[in-house]
Amino acid sequence: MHEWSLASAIVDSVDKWARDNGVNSVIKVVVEIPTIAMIDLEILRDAFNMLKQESRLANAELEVRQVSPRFRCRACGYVFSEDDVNKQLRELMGEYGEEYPLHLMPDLAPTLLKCPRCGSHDIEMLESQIRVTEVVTK
Amino acid sequence: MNLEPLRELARDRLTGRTVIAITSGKGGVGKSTIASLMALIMSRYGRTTLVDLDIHGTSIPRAMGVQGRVHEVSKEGIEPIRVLENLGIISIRGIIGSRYVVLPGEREGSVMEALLAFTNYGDSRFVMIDMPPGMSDELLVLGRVTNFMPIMVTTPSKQSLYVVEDLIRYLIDAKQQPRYLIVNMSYIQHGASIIRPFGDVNMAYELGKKYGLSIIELPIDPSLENYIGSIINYRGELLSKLEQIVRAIIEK
Repeated sequence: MHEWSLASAIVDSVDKWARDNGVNSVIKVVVEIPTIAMIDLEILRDAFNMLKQESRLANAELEVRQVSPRFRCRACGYVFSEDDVNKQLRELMGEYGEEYPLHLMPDLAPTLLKCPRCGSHDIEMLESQIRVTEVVTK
Repeated sequence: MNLEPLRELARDRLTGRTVIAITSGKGGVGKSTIASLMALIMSRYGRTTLVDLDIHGTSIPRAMGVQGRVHEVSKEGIEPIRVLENLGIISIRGIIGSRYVVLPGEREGSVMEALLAFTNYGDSRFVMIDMPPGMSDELLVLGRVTNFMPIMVTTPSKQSLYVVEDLIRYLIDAKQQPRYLIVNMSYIQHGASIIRPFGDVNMAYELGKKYGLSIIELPIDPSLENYIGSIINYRGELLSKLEQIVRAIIEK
């Protein structure tokens, strides 16, 4: 369900950008989404296609690039990837079910995950947020 | 390309609503209790969403007795937990459950922004924000997405008032002039006499005069502690005092 809010955020922000910049028709929107959010891309596209109707994105297609966040532990310096915390992520999904917190807010990762080497929560994370990286206009 | 999808969504969703932030700068002065009581009063005048933005020290769910509940998520967003027909609450506790929240600073603002953006405010006329202590991301995040009305809370202690003065100065610089300074725990009514356990409140009145704030003194009501978990049933003296502020806001 959360995919609908994300689609709304994408449509709203791009539509506002188009209005502010005198663009009448957007034909493509490229977004990056962190993989740890476990977004259902089919639902996201359906929601995007419904919500875009009354906007300057009415003819736009949505391209989604899923990016795997990179982590660095500030306590011990260990650099790690999503694969290294896969077990922790699976446990979280088992504990919380469909609406697990990182689905709604990937930025919560440092409080839910621990450094796989030293166990610290002091984790720096790159590519953690949904981002609009490209808008193609007519 | 510098688009901020969540920020835009938060702006959109808060537009047209009266957003009130209960804030202090200092911790332990009673912000969450006052936010809860003011939200209760507000909800008599119109649908109200109370957002607990204190992500590290969440208090609202416990005050309301819904600490074990999780938020449902619909197509419209994160659904507030209804504690009254006209009052819903939103907090990180309803997302993360009973776990502690320890976040590096650079993540705090993003989590707060997500909470403000993804909430389904529905037809809420009022949005009450319980701010965390300190002067940090919460002020910047909220200022980016809405023109909020700050209501300051302090105790009579100079330690608290010095911090509050910093925050007042910041808010005035940010063009968010506060109009009310609530001096919580000002006195205890004992029979016909008034006892001021933390001394006089002169400094609060001086600040009020200097910066153009009305002062509202709240008493210590020991019975309030009995309502932690069922604060919606509280009918004590604090309510009538806070109602003055609510009425003034609504009439404005």
